[in-house]
Amino acid sequence: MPEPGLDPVIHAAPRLKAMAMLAAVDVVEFARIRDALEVSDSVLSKHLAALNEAGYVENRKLLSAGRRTTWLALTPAGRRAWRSHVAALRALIEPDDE
Amino acid sequence: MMESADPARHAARDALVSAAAAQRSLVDRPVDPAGADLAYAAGMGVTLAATVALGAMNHHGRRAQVAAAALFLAALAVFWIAGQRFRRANGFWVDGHGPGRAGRVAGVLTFVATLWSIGAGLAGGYERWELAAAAVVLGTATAYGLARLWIRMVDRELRAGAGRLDA
Repeated sequence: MPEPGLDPVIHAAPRLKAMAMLAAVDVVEFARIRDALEVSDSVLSKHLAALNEAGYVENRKLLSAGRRTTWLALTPAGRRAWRSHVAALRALIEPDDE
Repeated sequence: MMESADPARHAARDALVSAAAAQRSLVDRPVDPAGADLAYAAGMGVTLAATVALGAMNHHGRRAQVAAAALFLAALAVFWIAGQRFRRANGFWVDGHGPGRAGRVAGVLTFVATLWSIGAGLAGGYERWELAAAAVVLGTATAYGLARLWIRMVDRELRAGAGRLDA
């Protein structure tokens, strides 16, 4: 159960890592995220579907070496959600000085 | 109170550390400079276009102007292809830091270099081919330097980003 202020869609570890990678750049290849997270295609697809449904991630089909591959990018809403999730994590680590 | 806050604090810290590690994984292997060679070639194209355009103003008329415009457009197309190559080789793309940006800067600098070398050449009484050669050499060096610099910028930015997350 996530703490108040944390986004439950991003909270799960694989989704948090995928969002972190996507936040660092503009588009990332599906395979690059799958390899970094060390998960199967189906597991990553499931997590990405949740992020997709929340409107945080969009899929793009682009040509790579003659075949169409899936690339992923954060939507503006996804970027905002990521920033506020990170801010909530930081607030937990460094609560207001009493 | 502190007892209940501490596990949440540890969990939050772990989450940020793992997010930063995921970001760092993008640069765990060195950034592949694929596309930098094309950006470099395109920089040369812009230089040539600028040289021909300047020559056209002085000597060659409309045909040379059309040739210069065609060269410039071709160079822009090559910049775009360079970006696609970089994206495919690395599995990611950062807008605003692609070969296109390096190419635009290279274009401006090489144009200035061309102008300068032709101006200097005219003052010194050099032949046109000597001026064009000087401009190409200057432009090539500039374009190559910028293409290499671009790769370093992408690499440094990604590492710095991950560093900020788990600082």
